[in-house]
Amino acid sequence: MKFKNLAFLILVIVLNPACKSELPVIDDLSNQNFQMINQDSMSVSFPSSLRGKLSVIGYIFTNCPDICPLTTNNMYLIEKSLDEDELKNVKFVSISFDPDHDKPPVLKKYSEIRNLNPESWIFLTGEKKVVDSLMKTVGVLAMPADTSRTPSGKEIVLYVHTDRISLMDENGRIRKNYKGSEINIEEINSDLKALLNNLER
Amino acid sequence: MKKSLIVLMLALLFYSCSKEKTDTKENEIKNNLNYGISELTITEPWVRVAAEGMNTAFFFKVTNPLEQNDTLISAESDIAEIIEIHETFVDENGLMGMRKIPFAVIPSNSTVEFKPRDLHVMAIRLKQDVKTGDTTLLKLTFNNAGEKKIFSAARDFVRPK
Repeated sequence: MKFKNLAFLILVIVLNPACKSELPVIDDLSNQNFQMINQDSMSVSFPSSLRGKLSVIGYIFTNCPDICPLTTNNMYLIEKSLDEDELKNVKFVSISFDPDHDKPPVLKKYSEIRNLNPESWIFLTGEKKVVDSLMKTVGVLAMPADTSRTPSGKEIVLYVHTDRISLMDENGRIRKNYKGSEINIEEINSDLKALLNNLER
Repeated sequence: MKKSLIVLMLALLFYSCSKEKTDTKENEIKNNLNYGISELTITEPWVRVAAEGMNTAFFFKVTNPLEQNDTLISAESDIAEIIEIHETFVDENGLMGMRKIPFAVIPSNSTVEFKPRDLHVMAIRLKQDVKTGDTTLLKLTFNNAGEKKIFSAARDFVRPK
């Protein structure tokens, strides 16, 4: 009899939806405040300005011809994988780790030529020390590597960098990191849906 | 006796399956390389959408059906200040980067794909916007095959294979 009760209890625990494995908190940014600038040169507090919504965050530099456009491409595909109601609760955030070059007009142009939706998508840059501090906090490494000088004298710096998209919850906590340039869209879509369900409860 | 027969049948089955696979692969390569192609060819060219002042990359496939290796030694285009042959790499810490390479070998009887996260021709500091659908001329110079001109249509937002 005792064994039967125990077995029943275990069954209830296992089947209880509240006990589903949840995404762990990887980095808690809820008490942090990074004063950033968006593509329209407006001041933005990160992550507090995103509170209440889920965020899909990509780390990029606009001079990147291969990996970062793929990350942006994948964020676009994630956006397209969500329905209208889901999109109301999700923001797409591209943060540049090259603030010396990626000024707001550069970020705006990067967004516009790709026809990204300005309602759901924001680009962030900022003072170098703030950006560096944010990157350190979230564990994104970006180091200048190859540098070219164009005939017109412009210096082009290519970075060696972490290839990452992060999923942040409504409280400013990073819940999962993915490889930005080769993320599994179905995987993050499923993770987003799970967090959106929690949001609605 | 029965056991030996079963083992023999399984071995035959395995052989025929693997043979079929090898044959299919061989045929595929032969079709790709020899079907009406007697010289180095470039197919499926495209260039990634990017804005003036930024960088972008050209992607394409190079098929060399000949018995001799060839080498891509340079690339030219008017759309940017600098055009270079590049490769994307992952360093020992898992960080991604790109670097210039002096040439790219196209082995005999093979197809080399210049593709995202891999080999590409990089256009540094675009002189104009490259918008979806725009067509851009790219001149590639090979050691043996000489100059090859290709027109690359601009696109973005593709689901990676």
